Amino acid sequence: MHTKRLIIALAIFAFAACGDDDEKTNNANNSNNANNSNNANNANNSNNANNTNNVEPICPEVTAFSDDCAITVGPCTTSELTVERIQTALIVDASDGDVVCFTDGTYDVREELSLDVPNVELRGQSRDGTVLDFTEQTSGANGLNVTSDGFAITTMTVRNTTGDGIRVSGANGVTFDNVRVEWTSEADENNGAYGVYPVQCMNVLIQNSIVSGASDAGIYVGQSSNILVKDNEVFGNVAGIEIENSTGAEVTGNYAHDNTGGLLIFDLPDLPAGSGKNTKAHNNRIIENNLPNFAARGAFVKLVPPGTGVLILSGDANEIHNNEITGNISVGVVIVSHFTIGQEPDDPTFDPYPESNYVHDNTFEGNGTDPQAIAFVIAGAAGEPDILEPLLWDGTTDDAKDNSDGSLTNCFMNNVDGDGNAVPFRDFDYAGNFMNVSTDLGDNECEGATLPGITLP
Amino acid sequence: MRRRNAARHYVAVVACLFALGCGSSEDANNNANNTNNVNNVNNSNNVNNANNSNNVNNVNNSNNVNNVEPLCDVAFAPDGEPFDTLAEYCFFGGHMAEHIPNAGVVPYDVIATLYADDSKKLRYLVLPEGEQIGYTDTEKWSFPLGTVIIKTFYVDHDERDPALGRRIMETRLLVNESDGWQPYIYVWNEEQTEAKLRQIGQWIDLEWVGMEGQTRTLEYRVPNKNQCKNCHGQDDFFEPLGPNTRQMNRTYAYDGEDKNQLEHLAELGLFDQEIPDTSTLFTLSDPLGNDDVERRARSYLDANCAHCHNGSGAAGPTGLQLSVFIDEPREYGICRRPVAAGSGSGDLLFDIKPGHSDESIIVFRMASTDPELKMPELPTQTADLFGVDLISAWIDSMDPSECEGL
Repeated sequence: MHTKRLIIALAIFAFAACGDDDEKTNNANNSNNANNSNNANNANNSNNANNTNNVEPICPEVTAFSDDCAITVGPCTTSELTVERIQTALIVDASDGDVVCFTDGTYDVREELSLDVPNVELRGQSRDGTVLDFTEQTSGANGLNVTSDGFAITTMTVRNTTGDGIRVSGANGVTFDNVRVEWTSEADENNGAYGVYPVQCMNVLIQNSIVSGASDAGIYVGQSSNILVKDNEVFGNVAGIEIENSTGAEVTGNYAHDNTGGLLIFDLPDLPAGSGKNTKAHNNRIIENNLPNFAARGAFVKLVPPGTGVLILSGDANEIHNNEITGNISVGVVIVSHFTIGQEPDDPTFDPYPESNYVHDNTFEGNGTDPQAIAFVIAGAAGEPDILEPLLWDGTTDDAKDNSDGSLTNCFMNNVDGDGNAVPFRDFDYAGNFMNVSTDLGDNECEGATLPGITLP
Repeated sequence: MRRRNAARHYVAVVACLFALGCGSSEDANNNANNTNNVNNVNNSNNVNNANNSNNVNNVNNSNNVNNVEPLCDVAFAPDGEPFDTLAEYCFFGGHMAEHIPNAGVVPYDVIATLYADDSKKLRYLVLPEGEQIGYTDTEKWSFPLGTVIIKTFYVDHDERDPALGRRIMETRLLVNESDGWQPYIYVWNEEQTEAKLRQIGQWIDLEWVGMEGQTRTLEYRVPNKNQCKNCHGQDDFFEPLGPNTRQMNRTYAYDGEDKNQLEHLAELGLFDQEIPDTSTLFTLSDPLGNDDVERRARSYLDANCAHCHNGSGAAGPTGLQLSVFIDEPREYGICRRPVAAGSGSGDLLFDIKPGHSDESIIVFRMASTDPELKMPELPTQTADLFGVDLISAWIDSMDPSECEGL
């Protein structure tokens, strides 16, 4: 273990030979004995000798900032060396359970980094000071690509990846804590699709993090289970937070503002994980998500109208409660079936009907004041294109199912404005071509099933 | 727990055709030993001594080589402890770069290759002595522990005349160890005398002469160990991709004699059972051959895409399945809408829009070199224009009315 720490620290001595395995072995051996200043001096001498031409790229020596750093890395003076240093740490040196520490500085990373060692934490020295900068990235579809269980990334920034920011696939145990993932070019279609991107994972924690600029979803959790998304800030993305085909998620304490849509809960056909359900979204602030939709056409989120607070697409048994939903100009909360996106789902196992969702005790203020895109069409169908009720449902029910006990009904209760008055609702009757629009909650004013919070192992 | 150790060797006498070359692989072994000595040394003085004796040893060795015909036994590394250099495995006799396989190292080719920036490949299979492959017609073969699959990547100095020599970039080993297949990547030096283990990837600047005599350049990517998983990872396991019945049922020129590869392996006793008449087996179509365009296109997709685009692969979450065994058109892309492609959809609506290759996402992404968009999602630097043309021709041959109303 001690050897490992020092190999990285001593990469400074490798110079042009940083790529030379023999050199590393020697350095490692030196470092074993390196408890006396003699050896260090020798190393420095050779250092000076190499410095005569003054342009040698180097990896400055770094020291661990925490006792449990098994390996510590810092930025080098060239991207090539920086990448080599990080990948050596993550591929060659890291072993099960290690904390790999990144000292403050900007790391010029031009290719995808990958990690496949279980239970490794990547920890920066400070969130704003430790920056993995992918602005010049030329290779790889993600910034960081993780395929191992028990992964954690904490206290650092990942910036301007060419594709997705941090992708974790197929892992049991994923933690993002105090991480910033950002694209600094605002509302740019060329920004990467997903910022924080666990897919087909279980036991996922995403907290205290900031994600901005994603051309699809800032925080995207797909085909996963047992998920806690807590106390994050997401802005400037097409979708702030998206939970897709996932089962058992708690989304709480987040601040989603200035995205195209604040929170999306999607169930899509043709995915291996099948349908998801049971997202509990509560005590979030969903504020002024009015950003023009800058997603690429063909992406599902391209269909999201600017000004969307919360959108449930085809999902079942989700609970949306005690959120503050303010200033989203198209709609506050909308529940729609898969039919509304104009495609006939071809997957026989897929249920396009959103059912058993429960929206209650949310506070609405100033939503639906200027409906955009499809929301404008929906508003116009009732003759008032300039304003839309903050609570919307497309009214599509599956006649083939028995709902005599009402358990499939989407329920809306105690949704109020700042003065405590019930907020307007509209069933816009998509299936009936907007012919039987109703603003009366009727049977949909009901008490639905509540969900427990998520606990992680 | 280590179930095997380095002691298991092939006892094979190898004719050394290139005395000088044999010397260099001996050197590599000595270097490795010296490195071990260095590990025991506690001060820099001794390190210098070690280097000196190293030089002396080299001189002695090259002298010896001229007089004595060396033995060269294929060696297997202990699980999890790959050799530092390729030479130590002794897979190849003669000058290592010549790739003359030692006894027990069986060369093979596949029918449909995975595009790798126009590099060429040499493939070999090594089984521990007495072990056999569990053969099946259409499923995955099962390989005994200790199996090594070798793939060497190179470019010809001049594509018009391969006899002018080649530049080898890397040799990848896939070794079936007790805890699954493990990738080990050996990067060759420019002098082509040595290949050293390097698991973190490397960029290599290449320049060679193309078919029209033009200068070709490429920043070639040697992948890192984790990137191997992108293709070879199925669920939590690594798997070999090439050696299977549908890819191997073709001829190979063994010592100048054309022979069916499966029959050859069977004759060597490497299968655990008799194999059927090879003319009856399900076999891929050579994408460069003359079969109908659909057969060739599906074979191409099977070889280049299906390792990710299957239920267990890295692209499993997309649901798009490109194995040649998938019969449902929607599953292999016909009129299929992208689910999670983001800007990867390229403003297009269908993975494959029959009759319209220019409106099909699959073609758009195959032709792209943008890291966010390109397919396959490998660190290759160039698009496979042959593949783009083949898939386009296939799509354009379809009935354009198929997706109407979708």
